[in-house]
Amino acid sequence: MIAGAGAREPLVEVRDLEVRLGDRRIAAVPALTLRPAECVAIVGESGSGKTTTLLALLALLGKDFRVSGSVRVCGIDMVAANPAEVATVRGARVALVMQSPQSSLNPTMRLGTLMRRALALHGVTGDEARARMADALTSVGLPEAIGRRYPHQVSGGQAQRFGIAMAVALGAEVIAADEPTSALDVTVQAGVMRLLQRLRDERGMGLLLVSHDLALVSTVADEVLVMRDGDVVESGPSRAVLDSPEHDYTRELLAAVPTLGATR
Amino acid sequence: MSLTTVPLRPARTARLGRLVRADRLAAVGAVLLLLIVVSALAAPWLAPFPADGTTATHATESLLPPGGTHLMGTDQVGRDVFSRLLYGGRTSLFIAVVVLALAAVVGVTLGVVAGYTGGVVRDAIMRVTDVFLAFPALLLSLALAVVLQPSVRTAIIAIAATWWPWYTRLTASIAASIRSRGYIDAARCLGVPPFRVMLRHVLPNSLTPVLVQLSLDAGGVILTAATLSYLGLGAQEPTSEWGLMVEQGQALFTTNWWVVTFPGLAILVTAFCFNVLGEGLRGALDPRRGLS
Repeated sequence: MIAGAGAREPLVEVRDLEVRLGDRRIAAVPALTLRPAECVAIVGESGSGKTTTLLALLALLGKDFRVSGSVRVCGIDMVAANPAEVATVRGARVALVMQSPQSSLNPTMRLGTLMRRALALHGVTGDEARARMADALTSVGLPEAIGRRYPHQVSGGQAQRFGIAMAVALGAEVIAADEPTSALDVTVQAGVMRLLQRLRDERGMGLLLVSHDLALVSTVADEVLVMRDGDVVESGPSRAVLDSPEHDYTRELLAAVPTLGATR
Repeated sequence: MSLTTVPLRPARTARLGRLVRADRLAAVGAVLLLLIVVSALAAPWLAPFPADGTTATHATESLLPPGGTHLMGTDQVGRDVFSRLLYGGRTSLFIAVVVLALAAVVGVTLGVVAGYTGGVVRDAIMRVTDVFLAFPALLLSLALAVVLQPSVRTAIIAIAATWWPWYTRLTASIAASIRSRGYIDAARCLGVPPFRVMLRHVLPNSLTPVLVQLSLDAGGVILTAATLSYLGLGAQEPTSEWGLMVEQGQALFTTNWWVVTFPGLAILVTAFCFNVLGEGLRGALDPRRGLS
């Protein structure tokens, strides 16, 4: 691989990642590269190791997990780095957007307070913080007044947009999203996917999507990794994977999506 | 309560209203408690004979039955029972508030740390807690009260020492379940340091059951404080305290019933009010009841 100049430097680069729990191997990813303004999707059913991979990238796995290999995120080796170095990456440069948006918001904190504190934690306060909050909320299509609400007073779609707004406000270079739309209904799903796409195109953010829905993510993703039982069974440009899947499992995942008028 | 009285989108102000309608007993308890607390706080102004609440004695007016001047009669040394009851409320409620504050601060802090941190830290904290819980609370309080000089302060220390482990146990289990919530992962992922995760995210979300428990426990603390004073290990003369008043009046019950009956009733009513309020809060804050 040829290292591109400046902005084309990979945001995430994984080589021979392996995660073990006890003597069981629960995820192995030989290679994964994410560059700015790109989208890589990890697809698989429950238990395929896709979420584990994502958590390993952010060094969020518990002490019981043993991680080996090389995981470089924004230039930091997340496997070998000390907590202080890891902290410079998480949140500020890589933002995690979770599966169930509402449960990832502290129910006792107003959304505005949450965002203000997150910014303060990363050294952004006062007018600068207010400007960033306004910009971030506008960019995800939320009214600024939403800052006065508590998490239970907003809808699932709004909560997910807010999670993405947090990433924008913190100036994240990568959005790592774990099933960002599976807790939302279909029309809201499409809106959130469009929003992620726009952030990639307009702000050059890297997207790392984890999902069970191959059809949904392949419309956005440039690259797709299909995982099963902890192994990557197929990977490549999403067009190629979608149009001519090589592995039976990939075909099964595609067939699992109901299509109007189609018979299996 | 019938379904029709529940508004679909309740405003914040409607919440209290629903609480009251949902549990009339708890509402009555809350109102009575408010009265008791206010009258205790305002004792120097409400008491017909403020000096009787502290040091004054009137040998010539001893053991007068309830009447116009002395609403609840007078005791052996001629002090107005009603005045002493108001001042005694100050002592009893003060003990309850301080004990619960100490127990909750110590217990909840240790509980949050134990539950959130887990591992060795959790084991260490929980084993110490178990040791304290292994002693019967009243016995431990009595032992401590005997070792230290009997006083209100001793009573507070003795009761608090036996009360905090319950809060540690309660909070540790809640904190452990909160640890796996998404917003904790989210906070950690944002780089929030562990101490702040506990303070801003684990603690506020653990407090509801603690509030319920505090309210339920207040009655128990008042009873225990009264017991210690009754046994001569708590408040000392001339301080007024309900348990002490009962102790001093019990021998006169058959001849001068008012000396012991009114402080006894005060203990009973206050403890009862705290209990129904606690039960009411428990019900109202339980999401399965659909009221919160």
